[in-house]
Amino acid sequence: MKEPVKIIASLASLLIIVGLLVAFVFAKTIPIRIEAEKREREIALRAMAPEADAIIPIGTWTPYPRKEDEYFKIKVGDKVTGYIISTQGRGYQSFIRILVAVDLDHTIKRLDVIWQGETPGFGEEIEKPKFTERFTGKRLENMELTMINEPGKIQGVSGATVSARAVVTGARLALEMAKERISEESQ
Amino acid sequence: MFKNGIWGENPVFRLALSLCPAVAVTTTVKNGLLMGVSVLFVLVMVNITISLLKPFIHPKARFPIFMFTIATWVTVIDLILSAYARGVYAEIGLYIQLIVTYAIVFSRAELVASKHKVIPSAIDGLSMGIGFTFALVLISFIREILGKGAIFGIPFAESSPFLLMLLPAGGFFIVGLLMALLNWIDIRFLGKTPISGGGH
Repeated sequence: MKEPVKIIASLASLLIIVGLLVAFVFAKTIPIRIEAEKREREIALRAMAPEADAIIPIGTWTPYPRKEDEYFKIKVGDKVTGYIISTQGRGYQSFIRILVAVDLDHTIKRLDVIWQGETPGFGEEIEKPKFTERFTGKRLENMELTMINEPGKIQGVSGATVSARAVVTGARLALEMAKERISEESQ
Repeated sequence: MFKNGIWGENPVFRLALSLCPAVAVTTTVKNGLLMGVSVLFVLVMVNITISLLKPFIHPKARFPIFMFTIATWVTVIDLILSAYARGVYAEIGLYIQLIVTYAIVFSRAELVASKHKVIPSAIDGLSMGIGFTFALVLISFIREILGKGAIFGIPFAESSPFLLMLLPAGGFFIVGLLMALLNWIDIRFLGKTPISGGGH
């Protein structure tokens, strides 16, 4: 046999074997992964509205181009009591994933940072209740970041200004979307 | 041969290979340990596979074959971790995929696995992997205490005592200091001239 043929044959046979191996592991792990992702989402949504009887998806929207997200309605009994919007904010080195729960009149009830990939040691500050609690009771016109404590605005975190601004921007996009779309949609 | 990877030729402290993960993921012991164990798994499996396939590997095509083999085992451990260790995977997932490019795996495949039988190759992978894990755990233990103010994830300080240690620069400081410490122990107590890093 010629040399190139030998090389191609040895590479091809190896590729077939490793392909089968990867396919086998993928098939074994994918159901567990999907299940775990679903459960994590469920827990995160549940934490946003502990009083809810049901959290029902309404539709999808795009806070940033090609970044699709969902939004949900909170049902207590038969009544819709608010909405949960999954949104994102462009941080220092990652897209920060945020959940925002709003009332029917679009006041923030609760904001959670679900995931962030910001600088270790600084980025964690925006996940803490100390920061996320500053959003409670705020409305669209309050979505502005300040460095000093000003009433009616969101105070930033020193060392994590860009990350904190990303959370404010994500929340603002969510509230703008809520104002535009959710008010006229079916309750 | 077994002790070789842990002390004499420790991948991080002596060979100075794969410093990227040694600095990037070692902010908590949990992350460092999982990264070390992943590399250990990849090293052992790659060494076994390469030494088994040795008769069929055409010498001219050996680099692509090493690459395929490493990529396969990295994909396997990546899929497993993303299913079973999701919390840690969210933090270090990116670096797990980067194991493909770690010089330590490739150099062991070329230097050891392609020249030795299965058992010695596996032992070498195990030894190098344990050495790597030991290094990562040691670095992350120090960085977690200084940077996060926590031991094994349990915080003892309100805020970070020494924030620099969490940043990449702090990682390099720790790696350098530990390298110096190991060399000092070698000279002072074992009467050896230490081999310097960057050999291959």
